[in-house]
Amino acid sequence: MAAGLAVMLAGCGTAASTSASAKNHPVTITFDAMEYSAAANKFFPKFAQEFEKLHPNIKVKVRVINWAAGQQVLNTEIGGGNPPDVAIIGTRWLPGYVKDGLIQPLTSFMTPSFAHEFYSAALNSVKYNGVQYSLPEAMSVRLLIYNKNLFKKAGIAGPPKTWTQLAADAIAIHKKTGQSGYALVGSQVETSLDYWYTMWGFGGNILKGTKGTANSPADVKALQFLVNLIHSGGTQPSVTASTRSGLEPVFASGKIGMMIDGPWLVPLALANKIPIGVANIPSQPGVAAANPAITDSFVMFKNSHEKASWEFAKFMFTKSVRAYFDKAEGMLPTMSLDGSEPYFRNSPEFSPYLKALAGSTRFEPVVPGFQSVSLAYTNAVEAAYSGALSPQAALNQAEPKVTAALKK
Amino acid sequence: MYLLPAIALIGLAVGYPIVHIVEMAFGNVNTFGTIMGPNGFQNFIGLWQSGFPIVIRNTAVWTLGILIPTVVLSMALAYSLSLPIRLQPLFRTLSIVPWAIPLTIVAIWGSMAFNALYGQVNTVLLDLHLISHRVGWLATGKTSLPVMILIGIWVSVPFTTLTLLGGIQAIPRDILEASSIDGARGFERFARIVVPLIRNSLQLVVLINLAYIFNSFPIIWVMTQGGPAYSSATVTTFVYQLAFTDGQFGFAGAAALLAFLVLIGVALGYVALYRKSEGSLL
Amino acid sequence: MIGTPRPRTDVRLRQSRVHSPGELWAAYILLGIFCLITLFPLFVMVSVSLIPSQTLAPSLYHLWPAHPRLANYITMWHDLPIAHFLMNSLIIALGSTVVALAVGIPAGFALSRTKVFGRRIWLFLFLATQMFSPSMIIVSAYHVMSVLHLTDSYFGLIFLDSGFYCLPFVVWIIAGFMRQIPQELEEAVDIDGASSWQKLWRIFTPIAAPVIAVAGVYAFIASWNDFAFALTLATSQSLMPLPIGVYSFIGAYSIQWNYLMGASLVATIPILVLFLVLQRRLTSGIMAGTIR
Repeated sequence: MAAGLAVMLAGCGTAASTSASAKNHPVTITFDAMEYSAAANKFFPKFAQEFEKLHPNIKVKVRVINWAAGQQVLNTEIGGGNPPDVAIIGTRWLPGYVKDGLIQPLTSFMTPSFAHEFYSAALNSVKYNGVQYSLPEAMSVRLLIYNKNLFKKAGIAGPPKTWTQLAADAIAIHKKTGQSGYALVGSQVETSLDYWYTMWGFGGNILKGTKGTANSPADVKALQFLVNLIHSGGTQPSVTASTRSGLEPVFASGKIGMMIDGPWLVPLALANKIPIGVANIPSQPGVAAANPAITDSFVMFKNSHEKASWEFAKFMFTKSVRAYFDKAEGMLPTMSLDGSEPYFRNSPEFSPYLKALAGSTRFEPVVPGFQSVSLAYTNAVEAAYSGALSPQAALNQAEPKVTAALKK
Repeated sequence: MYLLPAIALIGLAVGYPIVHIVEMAFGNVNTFGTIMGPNGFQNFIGLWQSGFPIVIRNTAVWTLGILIPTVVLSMALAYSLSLPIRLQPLFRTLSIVPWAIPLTIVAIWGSMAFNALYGQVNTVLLDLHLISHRVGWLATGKTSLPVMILIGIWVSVPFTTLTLLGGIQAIPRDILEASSIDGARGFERFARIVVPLIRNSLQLVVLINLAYIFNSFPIIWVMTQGGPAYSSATVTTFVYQLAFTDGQFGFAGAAALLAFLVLIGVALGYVALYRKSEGSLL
Repeated sequence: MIGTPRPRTDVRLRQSRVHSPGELWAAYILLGIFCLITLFPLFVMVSVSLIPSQTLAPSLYHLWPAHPRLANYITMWHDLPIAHFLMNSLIIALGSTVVALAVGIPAGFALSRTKVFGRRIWLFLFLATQMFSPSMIIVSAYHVMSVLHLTDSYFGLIFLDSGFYCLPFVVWIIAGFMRQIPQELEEAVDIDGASSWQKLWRIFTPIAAPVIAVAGVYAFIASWNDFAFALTLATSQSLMPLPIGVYSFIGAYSIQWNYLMGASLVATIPILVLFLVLQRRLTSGIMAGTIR
């Protein structure tokens, strides 16, 4: 009892003294947030203001950075000896920053009860080498969204379960309705990810240990399958000119049968009165099905403001902030407390995605050099789609680049 | 002494970064652009192995494909604008319009208008029955490079035309009148009298355009990012991708240095050719 | 010699003797085609900017929306910080222009009218800076900016814009013009015993005023059009100039082409107005260069 009291008093003492010293020296932390959409420019500063009200000793300087330039800006800031205190980063960038000793591990800050508030799949997706370096945010599962009108016209009963079936359906849609069957991304950064959807469904993998497996038989088969699909009219024309964000309005105007995408496409299509269904991503017989998922990472950079930074991190992962963010950006909840909200459970766009989250999901591997891995894939896949190289030759060229990138 | 502030400003803004680029080209650089130590010619070897030859070809096509038509077209436009035509102010204003639109925005417009599926260029060409189905302009380097070159010409013409127009208007009327008495008219006078007299403006315009087109970034970056598979990449987009997607600052520095040396070489040769002309600045 | 006024009709008459009708027709056709091509993007921008958000996707397939919505501009102006972006653009572009002119006029003078050591080399070096791509320069320029604590301020951008985009141009244009001012003019002043500083500001600057205005416009546009520097240095919205702001609308998820095109027009209009207002002055400025 006495010992307990002493501990409590001591606890109070430290708390009081730190807050007193903090009062004398107000801390300013910088927060590099990413611009998910134009609205992000408003709500991130608003979050910071709310936080400052609760913590008068901490000032937060917010920078909302364009995603496309995000990594460049961060790298130049780091290179110039001026990194932020906290930041939202692409999970792909995390291993590189960790290897350079820039990121503060969160192990000593995370309490079990706090960790418990997250969906474990989400929390695990942003671990690197088994260490919790970041908190997961802006999660999106990718699912197959299909146009029920076009399915009906083509006489197709339901969504395809295998890629072989998907190809048959896509070609049928094109023949019977004149519209495109399957939307395939073949331009710019997301080409690789869009290809991996199929590759995973064929049982392929990006890497095995520290070695790339870009030209494994399953990989080659998957790429050959997509090239055949292009030639047999199963995809939209001009695949190598199509980015994901460029295809979305086309799907939303009812001119594409199927597209693999995140929850944000659903309201876009519904606004144009296109009846849609959402289904799991197909996989070939004998390959375990899993829906691909993406998360971004909320990290703390190593520096002297760790305590203030962690306070801010905890604030950013409270229910009100998370719910506001997810609703505004059409992202899935990463924490159970906001996932339980009726808004997410009952909405047509979120409910199938939330259900998918409970099932089996698959994240990109968190390894260093993943940007280069992705670039090597994108170039190989683009070369195969455009007919410049055969799938085998293209992937043979990519494999050493992938392995070299992983070694770096 | 009047020069000092200018030299100081340029030295800080551009001079130091150039020195740093040279250091990076021969250095072992980490992913944040910090130099860890010397690296000899390794960066140049690595650069050569990562697709640089295609990029060189594209850059040559891009630069000459824009530069030559721009200068020819601008000469004709500038001469046309110098003639006593009706609606001259309207024509003058309209022909500077492409320059008034920020390049980034031209490029964003291009990626929408040349979209394979809903692009407005396809809509117009379909309405005019010039094509039978929507074309994927940006799907391969074979079509995207020409499309982007056309856009490049369109945005380069106004500045070039305006500068050349200045040159043409500086020609004393008497010379033109004297030439017409000699019987030189129309195209003949244009080629024999006007062109030689605006040699200085031409020289400046070619040099400036050469550098601008060679280094032009937003059009290609926004419209294709150099893809698919580098088929529309030029040195600038390639360098950017090496540095900021691949984290290969050393390769990027090497490529930037090579590009600079080529450009300076061409510029020096060009200036040497023109040095003798009377009134030349250089 | 300098712009001797001549009755307008007289000029027309004399010129019609100089130019054949075929020449004029060719000019009309050429200008007509170029201007038509130029109007097309503007037309598309206007038409797309009027598409209501609800029917954005299907309307993109048509050249003109079935139900154009002018209120898009109000929504856009209200929801997005366009006015703020516009203000940033103006501050940065005007600042760069002023700095470049203040530094560039004496430099242009020195390089054309004085016997400065290595005149040709200096001129070539100014030009040579343009041989580097701004997207490459920025990697290293960021280091300079962070040493000077200019990473998150207007000054940093003004500094880089004026140094890289504006100054070389300004120096070249002004040096090129001042070189053509006749020697006799200068000699006449020499007799009065004026110093070169006085000569610069009392004689050369007033004569060159129209050309300086042209150089100023060039500098303004160059800074207005910057992409690479602002993208890296203006990371917070409070500093973003308009083109970067518009570019940032291409968020990660689904493009709002209607607002994008509306904002694009807003980014274009100030320069167009500048051209319209300065139209006559710009051309007459170049006309004043007829003295040889």
